[in-house]
Amino acid sequence: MLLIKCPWCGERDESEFSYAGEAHIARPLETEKLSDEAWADYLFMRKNPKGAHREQWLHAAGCRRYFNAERDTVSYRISATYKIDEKPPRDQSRNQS
Amino acid sequence: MSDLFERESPLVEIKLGEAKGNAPAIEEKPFLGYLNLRGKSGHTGFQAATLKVLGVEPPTEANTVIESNDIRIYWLGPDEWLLVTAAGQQQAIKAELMSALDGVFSSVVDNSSGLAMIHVSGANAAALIATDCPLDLHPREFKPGQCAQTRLAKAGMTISLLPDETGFEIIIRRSFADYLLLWLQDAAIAFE
Amino acid sequence: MTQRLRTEAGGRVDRECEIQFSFNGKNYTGLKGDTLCSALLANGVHLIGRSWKYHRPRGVITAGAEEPNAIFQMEKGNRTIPNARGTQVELYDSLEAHPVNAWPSLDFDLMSINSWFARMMPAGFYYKTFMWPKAMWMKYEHFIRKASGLGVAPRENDPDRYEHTHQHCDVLIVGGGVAGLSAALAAARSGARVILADEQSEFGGLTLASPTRIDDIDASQWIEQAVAQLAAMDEVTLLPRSTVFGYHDYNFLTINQRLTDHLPLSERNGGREKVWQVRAHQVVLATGAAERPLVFANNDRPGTLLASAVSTYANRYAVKPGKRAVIFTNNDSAYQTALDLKAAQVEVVAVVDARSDSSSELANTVRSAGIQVINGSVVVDTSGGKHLRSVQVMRLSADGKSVSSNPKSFNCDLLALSGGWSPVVHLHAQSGGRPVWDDETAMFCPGSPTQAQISVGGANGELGLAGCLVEGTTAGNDAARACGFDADSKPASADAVTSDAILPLWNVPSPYTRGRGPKAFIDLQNDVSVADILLAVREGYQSVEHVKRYTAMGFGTDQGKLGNINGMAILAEAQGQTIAETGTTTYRPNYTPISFGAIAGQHLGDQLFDPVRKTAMHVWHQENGAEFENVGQWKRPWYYPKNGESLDDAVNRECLAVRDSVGILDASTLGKIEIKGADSARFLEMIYTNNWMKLEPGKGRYGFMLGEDGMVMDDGVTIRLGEHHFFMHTTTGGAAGVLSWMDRWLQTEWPEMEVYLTSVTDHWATAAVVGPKSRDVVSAVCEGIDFSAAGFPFMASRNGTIGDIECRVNRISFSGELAYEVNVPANHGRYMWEKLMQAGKPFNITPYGTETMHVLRAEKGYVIVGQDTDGSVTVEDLGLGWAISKTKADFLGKRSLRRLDTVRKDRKQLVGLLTEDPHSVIPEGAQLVNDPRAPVPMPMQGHVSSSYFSACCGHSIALALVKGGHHRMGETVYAPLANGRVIKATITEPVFYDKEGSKPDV
Repeated sequence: MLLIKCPWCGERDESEFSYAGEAHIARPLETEKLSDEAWADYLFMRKNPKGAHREQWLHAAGCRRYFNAERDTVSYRISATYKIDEKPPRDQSRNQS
Repeated sequence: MSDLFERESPLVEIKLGEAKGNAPAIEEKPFLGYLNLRGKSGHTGFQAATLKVLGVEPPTEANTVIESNDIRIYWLGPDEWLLVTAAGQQQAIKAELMSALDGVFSSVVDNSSGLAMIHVSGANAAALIATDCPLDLHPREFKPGQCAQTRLAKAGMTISLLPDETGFEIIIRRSFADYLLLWLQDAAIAFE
Repeated sequence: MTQRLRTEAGGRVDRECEIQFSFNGKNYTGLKGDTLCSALLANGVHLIGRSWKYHRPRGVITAGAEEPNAIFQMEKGNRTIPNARGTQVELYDSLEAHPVNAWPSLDFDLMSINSWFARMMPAGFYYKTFMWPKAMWMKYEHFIRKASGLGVAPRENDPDRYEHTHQHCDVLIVGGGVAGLSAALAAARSGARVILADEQSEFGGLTLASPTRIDDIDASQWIEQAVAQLAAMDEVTLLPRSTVFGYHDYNFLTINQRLTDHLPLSERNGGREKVWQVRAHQVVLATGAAERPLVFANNDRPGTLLASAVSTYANRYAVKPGKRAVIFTNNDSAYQTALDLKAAQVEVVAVVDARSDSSSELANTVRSAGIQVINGSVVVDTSGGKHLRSVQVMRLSADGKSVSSNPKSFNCDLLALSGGWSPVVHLHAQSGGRPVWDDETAMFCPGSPTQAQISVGGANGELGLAGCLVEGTTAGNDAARACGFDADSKPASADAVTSDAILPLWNVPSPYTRGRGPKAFIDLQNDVSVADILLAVREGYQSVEHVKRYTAMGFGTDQGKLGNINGMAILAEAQGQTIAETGTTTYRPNYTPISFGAIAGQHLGDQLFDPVRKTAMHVWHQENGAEFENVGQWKRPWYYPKNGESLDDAVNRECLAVRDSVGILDASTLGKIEIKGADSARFLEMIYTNNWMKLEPGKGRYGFMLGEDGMVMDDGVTIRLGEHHFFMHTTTGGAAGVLSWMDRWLQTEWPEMEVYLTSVTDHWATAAVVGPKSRDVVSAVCEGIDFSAAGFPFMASRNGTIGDIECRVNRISFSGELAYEVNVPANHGRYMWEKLMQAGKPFNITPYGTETMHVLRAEKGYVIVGQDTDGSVTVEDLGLGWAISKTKADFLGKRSLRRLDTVRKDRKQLVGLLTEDPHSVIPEGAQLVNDPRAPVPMPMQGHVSSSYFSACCGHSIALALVKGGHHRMGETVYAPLANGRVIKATITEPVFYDKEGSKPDV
């Protein structure tokens, strides 16, 4: 059971959150101009890395804000959480006390 | 239709008796007014309007609750608050707010029938809620003036300390009220 | 029966308090403070059970959680518990225990014939033998299950309550031995919030069975004082009888506290078990170490125990586990057992020590006590039947790889084994740590912690009392400091003891030809022997995880706690690797088995398993005989049977009443979202497929929401209440998801849009008044509204009042009839409902439920998202292309509508079906084929999504998704059913009633 730091509410139990997939996937602006391939890339293609992964979470049972988290898919350690309008942390270190 | 009441609380089906043994007391506070307020707390128009009607600006510190003009104002999100008013006051306050906020990006929505308030008090109040609430309710961690949206069993709630710190005030959704009260009553057996 | 094997004095049992109990149908007497196993041993009962595969006689071997043999079926009926470890069952009055895995009886076990054929049942025997011929497996399986099952699961409902609690603390200490107590004292004195959990009934751990001193007082007295100090502190929670069974991410640990299992059945009130879900800032693991047995031929006879267990039975439980003992060891600790046995007046025949020399202070004390020590020797075999009779001892060669001949035989009924110690690293490993092999001490010790956690004492490989006190205190201080407290406790003191090094001895050299001798067991519960491991290696298994699964080593209720380390070391030897290279199998939760009741807690039954959501009119529905249907978490009236009507009869009546006069439906469960802000219309343009900019206030519009993949996600009517104000309806099941979906776009993609969303699903109670007489009914109740056809057209919304109550009436229809949805704040929901019922009386207003609603909408071909769609259906597939704007530049999902797959001509498309026999109703979900005589597998053409008998039409109707269906009107399809029946049907347009759509426009 993860302990997730909502950028607004602080550390809360995982059961208050829901996962919302990979972060930083911007919706293309002029969708009608896209090729099928480009649209499919936006629609379906996800990184699924082993290691550091930036993903969206929703504090569903709390403040109902979406935010981003950088989580290691092997250790499940969350190295950082940040608001939607914030940049991801440069430091990719996975240290977690 | 002689026994027809014009209004019924969400907990019409639940019998809340005296607490047994060391079980906490569970009380419903029916028919309060609930308004959902949204707006940009940094916006001067929003600040002025809320100050005028509520006497204060809504709290900007996350997970806090303040009281002003007999209205309790709960932080729900960075642009969202819950106003709890005395029974029957919500329409007037909503109208005042909407008129003061005219032209300002904001939203005031009446949700008075959508929510229910429960008071859980007594020595085991925190233990009762902790049966399935992942929040740390220890007095070192959860203090007067704080509130939190979290879960109780499999439903959401907004929780804060009672002003006299004898227990907790919890606000729950109407349609889950039955379930949550049955949950609390079942959990209370452990303390009887 | 007398307790003939009690010691004269001492022990932590209450000799004044006798307890009656029964095992295997016989009555015995024990003492308060006994475990089931100590009481049985006190009564001279050694034969406890039969092994899993060969049904060999087995007895108690340990005194703790690692026990593989002494497992019992406790009690009968609804309170029965399978596979309880008798070493951990506290004795209570009238306890009733039964053996498991013996058939027909413990003393005469027919299955022990397996033992004679043991050589023919090696590792993988079941895999190899019974999988062929394949068709016979079901028969074999039945027999094997009967022969091999351990305990029996209860068949009746569990009468007990189980509780859960969520707790948080600064420092959680697992294990209440002296290391854990020291840590708890150090942390608690600083003011930190401390939880101390121990699986036993009293704190103290192994030291309770050890005649030592701490701070110059008896260790047991020191323990008592420590516990009393802790109990007096407000921020300390002491949890005895509490097993920490899981260590998860972010220091989330689960503890199972047994509240009543130690009490007689008649005194068990309240919750039986309580699961603590603890989030700890710091964790101290003081779980101790477990002794290992030694592996040699016939090392499994009843009367063979771990040396530490022998000491525990003698010192703590005042039991002599035998009369004549031989001790077999490769390290110093078992010498204490020799002294303990002597003190308990048990004859110690010899200490057989594999080491060529033992000259520590302890060893010399044993010699001076007159006990024979035989160095450089090993026990190579034993004899006996249901109880050990003698052991054979041989000299070990200097290189430790062989034994000389001329065995010496010693008669004895007790063999105490010590093969060294293994730190209990289970929780450390569960937390993400990797145990590290230490050659010098021959132990897997905890590796680097990956969470805020530290192992101390025996769990850290520290076997000395003084070291445990120091490590515990230091860890307690450090953990408290890490939480911001000032902690500076000093450890208690104890004499330091020096001991000689261990001689690792995994597979005791055997005098027998390889593969010919009697079995030397590694895993007693699963009857895994050395030969099985060697066979697995010969057959090419390399990974320890594969060997485990092939041989079953480490399966079962004990999960290999006793034998796994020996097994891994023997595997390493056979592979010519180091133990570190071979490694361990994965340690997973749960540490010991947990009851299903404990896992479920209060989350049980119709009321509490899942939330039951109710509308404001729920009580009315109940009082008026509604049968309910679950729709998501909501309870919705399904139908209202009158005078014992069947579902079909009630639905036929309700449908006709709506079409002929007027019906009323509780529609409160639809999701409702208020949308406010200057960009609301622009936002809806993106969310829905159709146009919203020009919708005039007071009017509503039906819309589809698509996922970005272009598939239908939700639908509903949204009403414009003002220039910048909309009121959205979603499906009942989709409400929460739609709100999150829209919030996500606003928060993550379009933060510049001025739109606020607020869910008001619970605030409004909604009654749909439906049918040609609906106008008469609502106009009699709702005031301030012009209900004329011109004044209140279809898809319009009007505000009015019911007495003092505000109401909003929407002229929406989901039935093809004239219909109004009346909304009031839910506190007035029942009042509104009853007023409408009263006003409808002259028209015989008929309450109807979801079933009738479904039939009425299907007659009109209206789809239900989630029933007629499944996430792979487009608006075009539904034949509703008109709902997609041709002018908008973009909306969510739009681009996907041009994808190759989305424009395929053979997509499944929504059609109607008319059955050849008008009274046949095709089951929903039925697959459709073109030719029911085609060879299997038949090419599937689609499936039936909605199907009913329509009383209004006088025949059955169905909606189906059929490949290319829009161009197959008039064609025949077949629904072959599971029972062999085939229903023939014709594809039609999906509208069966009032095809012109004139009815709502009256």
